[in-house]
Amino acid sequence: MSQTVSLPNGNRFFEIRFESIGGLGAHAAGQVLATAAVLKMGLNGAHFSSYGSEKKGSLVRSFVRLGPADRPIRTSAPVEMPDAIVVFHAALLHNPATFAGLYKDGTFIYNAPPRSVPDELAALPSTVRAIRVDALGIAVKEKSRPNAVLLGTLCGAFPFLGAEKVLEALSEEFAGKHPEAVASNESAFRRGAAEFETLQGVGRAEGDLPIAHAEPAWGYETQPIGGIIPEPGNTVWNDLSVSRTGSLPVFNRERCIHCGLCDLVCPDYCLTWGDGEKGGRFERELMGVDYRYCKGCLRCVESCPASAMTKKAETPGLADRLRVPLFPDLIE
Amino acid sequence: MTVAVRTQNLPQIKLIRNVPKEEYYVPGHRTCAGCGPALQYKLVAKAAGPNTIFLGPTGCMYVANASYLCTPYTVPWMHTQITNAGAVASGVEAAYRVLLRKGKRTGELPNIIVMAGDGGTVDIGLQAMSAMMYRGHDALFICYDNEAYANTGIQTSPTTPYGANTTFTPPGSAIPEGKTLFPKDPPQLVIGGHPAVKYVATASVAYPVDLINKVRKALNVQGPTFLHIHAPCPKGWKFDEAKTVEIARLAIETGMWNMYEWENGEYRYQFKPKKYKPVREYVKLQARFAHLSEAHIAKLQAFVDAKVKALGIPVATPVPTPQMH
Repeated sequence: MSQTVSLPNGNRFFEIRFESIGGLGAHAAGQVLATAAVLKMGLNGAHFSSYGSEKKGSLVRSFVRLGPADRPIRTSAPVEMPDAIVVFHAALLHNPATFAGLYKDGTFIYNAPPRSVPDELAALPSTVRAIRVDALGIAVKEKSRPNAVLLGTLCGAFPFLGAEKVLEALSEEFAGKHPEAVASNESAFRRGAAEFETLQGVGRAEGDLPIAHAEPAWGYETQPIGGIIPEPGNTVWNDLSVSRTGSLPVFNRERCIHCGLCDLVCPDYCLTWGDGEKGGRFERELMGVDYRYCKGCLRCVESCPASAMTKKAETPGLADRLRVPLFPDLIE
Repeated sequence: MTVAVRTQNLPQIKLIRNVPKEEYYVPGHRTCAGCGPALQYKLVAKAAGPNTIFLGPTGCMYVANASYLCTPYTVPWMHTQITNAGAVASGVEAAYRVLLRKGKRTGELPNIIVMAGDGGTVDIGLQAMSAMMYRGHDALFICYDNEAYANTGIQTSPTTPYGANTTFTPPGSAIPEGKTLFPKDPPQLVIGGHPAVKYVATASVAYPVDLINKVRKALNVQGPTFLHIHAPCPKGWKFDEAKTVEIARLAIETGMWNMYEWENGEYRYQFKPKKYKPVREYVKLQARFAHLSEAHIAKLQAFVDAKVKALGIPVATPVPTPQMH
């Protein structure tokens, strides 16, 4: 047994919430961290995640709870008041629930390119330590995943976590199944621990942030009898922007030959078509992409015979600027 | 008293520009990026048009699409258990005929389409599917084949190919190839045992116009019909989500997937290359096969060689298909 680590807040558990979308590795990150805490740091630890069915692109929350060795963790409830929040994808900042319950002296780590300070961060308490790291950029360069980088940053921000021990657990996790990923994960982890930027004074709120209790639109009290679905096709209200993992297709209308191939390979119906000129060359013309629904599979880019669709890295605000709404009367 | 039931007559299309622009499978569904089954759903819904009833047994196309009280279908849709899609389709068809006979509904019999995964067709849902085919209900049963139980975490199904790594067939020191069995053949199962069936075809998301025409042909037939649609799954097969269509096309070019129509006892083979590519080209793009040794790939190749040898003489492609690259 290694020597015991002391936690920063002695009277309660140290709680971390990873806010992520499926496929970025938040569940694995939480598991690695809790494993390191229990097996290598002499702490008590618990980890679990909440997610839907097995698919990429849906919301995932991963919870880690750490406590001293002599204090058993008997709760397995979600972490409502975290000491640290780690956000895996910038698009999650649009969701107020991402910030919910953060302590006023807490730490908020988010994944964004250098110099990016989204307006949404104003919702943080002014006393919170905000940390930015380009997890996606580093992960792409190191051929790793954002979770390795963000684990590194978390250990960099909280020295008590023992970066070397967490790294050891990370390597052990991958050594069995993906031995080729161990070296790239290590360099991504080390860069994450070193290359983060601490921001002062981004928050405008005062005190601890309130806890969010999600109130679903439909429930036991309100659902129609007999399992009837009152509004078929109502998934159009969903915003799937968070499903994209860094890249999006950018449409160049000048080059487009309006052949329709992209439409036949797109599973998401996110291409907006308009009527062409009467008697003109094209009956229907491609107007653009509704990024509200685009999940960034980039199959349109692969299929385009005229190179009118190109792959671009997604920067904050780019999708909003280029978006051509599919249902302009319904959703702005 | 019997009332003549009119069914719809959907025209075949020749070019991409003739593909209907209306969509009945709207966006916002929570399938993975690059989902093959979602793509075929969109194409089937386009082909079938507004007068359609979809039956959705449990599977990816139910779970990821219809999260609590939300659906992307703008035509009537009903969830069925994974076991009983065929039985529910039978009931819907029989009930609609009664409504027509009693004059409570007028017009044509809607297209009744079951959208079942491989598990809902030839594994858990086999008996209900077979019973529907046997009794001769006027419905189209589609098996969108993503070759695994994908929404529960990629467990093996009877159509999972030999050598695939799934949660239930992990490769290890005792069983190095992962899955040891060769897959079931759903269309042959339907053709071989169901005298009421008139039309069976295989289709692929790599050839969307052909897929649309096969759906329409099947819907125009009175009586039970069956389509087996190849729908690659980026999550389960572990490949880059931009490559879904390329993988589907490679499956045909290597002989892993065979395209044919079977109509009243006659086979018509399509997209049968003069020389098949080696299966290695298909296998190397998918991480579910990453563990396979040369001997395993040779075994898979021998299986495919025997399969394509048994196929009949190729016929001309009935419709022009999109040329990509």
